[in-house]
Amino acid sequence: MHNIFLFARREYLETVRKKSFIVMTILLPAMMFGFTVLPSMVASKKSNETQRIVIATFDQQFGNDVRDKFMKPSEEKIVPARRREASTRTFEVQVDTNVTPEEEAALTNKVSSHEIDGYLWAPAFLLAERKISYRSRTSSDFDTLGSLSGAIREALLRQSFRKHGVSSEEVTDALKPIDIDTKKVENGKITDSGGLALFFTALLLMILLYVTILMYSMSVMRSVLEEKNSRIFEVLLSTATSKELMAGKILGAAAVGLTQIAIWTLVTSPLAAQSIMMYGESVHLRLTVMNMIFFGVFFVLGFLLYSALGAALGSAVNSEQEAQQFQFVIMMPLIVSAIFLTPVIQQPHSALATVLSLIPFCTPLIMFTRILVETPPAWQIGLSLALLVGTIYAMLAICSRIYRIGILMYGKRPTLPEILKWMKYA
Amino acid sequence: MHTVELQQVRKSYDKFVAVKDLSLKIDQGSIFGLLGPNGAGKTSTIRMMIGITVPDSGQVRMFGEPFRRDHLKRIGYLPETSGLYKRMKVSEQLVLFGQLRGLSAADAAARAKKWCERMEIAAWMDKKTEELSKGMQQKMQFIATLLHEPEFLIMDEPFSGLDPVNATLLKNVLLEFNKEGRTILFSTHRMDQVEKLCSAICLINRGEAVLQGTLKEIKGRYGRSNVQIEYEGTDEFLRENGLIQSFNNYGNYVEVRLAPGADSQKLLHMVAQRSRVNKFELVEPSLEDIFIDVVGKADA
Repeated sequence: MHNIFLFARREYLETVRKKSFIVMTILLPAMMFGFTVLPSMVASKKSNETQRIVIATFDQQFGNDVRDKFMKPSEEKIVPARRREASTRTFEVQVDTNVTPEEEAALTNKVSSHEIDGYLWAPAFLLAERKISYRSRTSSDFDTLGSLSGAIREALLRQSFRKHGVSSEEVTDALKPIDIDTKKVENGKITDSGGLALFFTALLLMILLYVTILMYSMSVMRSVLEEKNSRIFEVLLSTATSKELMAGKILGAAAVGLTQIAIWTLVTSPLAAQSIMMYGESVHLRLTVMNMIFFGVFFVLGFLLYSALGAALGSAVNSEQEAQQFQFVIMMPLIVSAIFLTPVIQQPHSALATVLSLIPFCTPLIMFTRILVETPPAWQIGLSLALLVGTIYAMLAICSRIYRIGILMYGKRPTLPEILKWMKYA
Repeated sequence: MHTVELQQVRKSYDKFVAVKDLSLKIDQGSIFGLLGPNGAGKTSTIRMMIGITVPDSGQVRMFGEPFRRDHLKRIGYLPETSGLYKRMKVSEQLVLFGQLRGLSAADAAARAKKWCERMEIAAWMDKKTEELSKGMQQKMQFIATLLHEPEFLIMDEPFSGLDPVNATLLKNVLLEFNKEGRTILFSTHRMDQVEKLCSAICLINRGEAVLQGTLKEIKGRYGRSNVQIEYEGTDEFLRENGLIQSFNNYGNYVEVRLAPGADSQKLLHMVAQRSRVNKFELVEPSLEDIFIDVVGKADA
């Protein structure tokens, strides 16, 4: 145990002091900042501009309806408050009842000369055919177009209701939007985690797992390879067993991974909160203490498993180039897990989800996702953990054997039958 | 008592037999030479001795008992090629090696400092290992080997890459250790380097012991059968001469190995007839001569 600790500490200190660790630690939060906060900052900057729009229609009442709806779509709860704030610009909307061809030409000129930003052309015959056009300098302002089309649809509805003698209040009442609030039933209680929230939580944690596992299992692989090539193993093996060496390496790498995650969490949590806010109150990262514990357990175990896999690969190959060819062995199970994430979230109790979550290489991602979405039976969680721990131990035994025999036979890449034979050696 | 006793150990890798049923005993407190050409099986033998590999058959006894892993704390092994963590600081690395052999961190640090001063690399203790020259790394590796003051030191080609001054520094430390009763095993193909140090040797070739015993005994077995001749004039006498089994011409002088039963006086007489003899001396064969002789015979 003492030796394992010494190796783990050495591995930890060496990795943490590396430039690549420091760069990654800073770079990832910076990238997150770049991808999430900056765009919203840029978007909210734009809101200072005022857009002038003219609604040209023969029907004053219709024009007013469109304008009112367009100016304050706020009754709709579906558009989250934060987002609306970020994307809404100030508008000046005028209703123009003159729909002569001369007026059309005049309005077009005004758009060209920047006097107004756009106009809605809705004379009676076009409105009857439901072929209204919006003319502006940029035809790709989808935000404005979307709001306009919503407003027009509602105004048309109001117009048609009015013809049938329905009062304005009744129409407003009939047009009230419906808000479907998703709740999760857990242990007979209704909890507050919506589907979208779960999806985002699962996705976020999965990215964390994926990135760190991939990064550090490669780093363990490289470190084993380096040790092999520097021939230091001969000294080490004259003081410790290859199992102690491997266990130390893998635990050291796990400690590095946890450190990295801890730093990222501390640095990015304010940023993450900000970017999540962009999607409004309907998305919460509902992380219960229990889920956090599960995350920790699956993260550490997943990390250990993939690091052991990396160590095994590192001990079986002779150069970085050879190692590159085998990286897919590490990446494949992770990619498979990522592909099946959506079906698992949608149907956490399907046979597919159950089987995947019990395959040790998929367990960290899939079982954890299942726990987040709908807690699976305890025996399944227990079984998956037992399989995971068993596989880690087996990987450790295998890779320490490959290491011990592989390093004593350098020079050529071992064939698969050779590796299998090594495993049988004492 | 024997520090090491190998009984019929055998190791093969696939079809290649690296060590063939080798038996040897190393006396406690002796300096022992494990000699042989490249690829003879020296390193394979050492690896089995200290449990890096397990013999296919045969037994390894250490300090009078069957080998156990905890014996390793009493052994220091300097491998042929230096094995150090390149990016680690010299002092940290030495402490790590000390700790791996059971020293406390503080004790290991104190000893590392003392030894770095003795080996003249104290100024480099805060540097990264990769910044050290090859010779300095060899000295550092040497310190790592003896930090825990082992009873048994295994030195695999310890002088390779060292200049004469540093080689002497290393040799003196080893002699001191030996004086304190510690056993030292040299493994090398450079016979001349260990001839003056070793009290007993085992010469191996192709995994087999071809010659072993105390140096005195072995040399005695060969007798004073070599002649060093310094001469002026023709070297015709070296050819077609039934008295000479083999010779080694060094330019200034020639070392001649007499044929079995040949009389050295006859040779002197013959040489003196054709050339001017400045020196004619009967000497013991060097280990290298014995080595070439034995290995040459085995290969023939």
